[in-house]
Amino acid sequence: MIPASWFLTLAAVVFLIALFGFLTRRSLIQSLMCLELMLTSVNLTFVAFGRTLPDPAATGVSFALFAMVVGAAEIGVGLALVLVFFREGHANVESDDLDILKG
Amino acid sequence: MGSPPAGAVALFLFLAVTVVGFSLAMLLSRNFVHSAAFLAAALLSFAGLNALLGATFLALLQVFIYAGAITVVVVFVVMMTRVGVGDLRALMQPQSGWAGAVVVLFGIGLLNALLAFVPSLGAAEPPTTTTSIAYALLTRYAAPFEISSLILLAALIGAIYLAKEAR
Repeated sequence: MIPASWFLTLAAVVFLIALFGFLTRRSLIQSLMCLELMLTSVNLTFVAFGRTLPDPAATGVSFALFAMVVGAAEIGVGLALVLVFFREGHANVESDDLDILKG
Repeated sequence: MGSPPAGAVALFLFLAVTVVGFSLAMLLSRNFVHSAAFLAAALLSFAGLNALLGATFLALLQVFIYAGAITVVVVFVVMMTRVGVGDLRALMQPQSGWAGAVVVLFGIGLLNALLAFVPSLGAAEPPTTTTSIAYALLTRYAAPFEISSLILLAALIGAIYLAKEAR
């Protein structure tokens, strides 16, 4: 089998690419896309650890499943919020426009 | 441990290149619809990586949920908000340099933390079967399993409430 360190490094690299995108994008939609990519790369880490540590209770895959559930819920509610934000007149749905709390 | 078979290595390298390439393409694309398509392609490659690790059930779910459902929702919202094509400079926050520094620092820490585990990792354990996942979900992880169904229900109702037209 391929060493787990390869999978861990790849997952970390994709996570960092997505983190950079999440921090630098103006648009909320692209930020959410990057968030999905981060969640997925963490899932790969779970599975890689589950494959190389003794895992009789299927912990790695189960945790990845629960992370998937949270990711699906997050993207559903997040995109609904984006839609509400757009409907309130912010045509570009940029995170800079979310400044009601700014003093 | 022995060296891994050449076919698996070639497959891994192919999937690694596609994952990183599609992620970068998603990031650098100026059109949001293209971005969503690249995201779907990257998520499909992740499904391939999961299958390569022997988690075939998870790979299948990855294709259904991430590459299927989530991409469709993202494309819907991109179409409904009609945002999209612009200069890459205009799409980025001005403090990208700081973000890059944070990512590099965080990346050094993350890679150190992850690779510190590697000596304690054994050789390949037998892959997790779907039967053992089902058994784990209904015995040891029964409570999180039920709670995750509640989370999905709450998210469903919340999304409907938020997206409702009348206010």
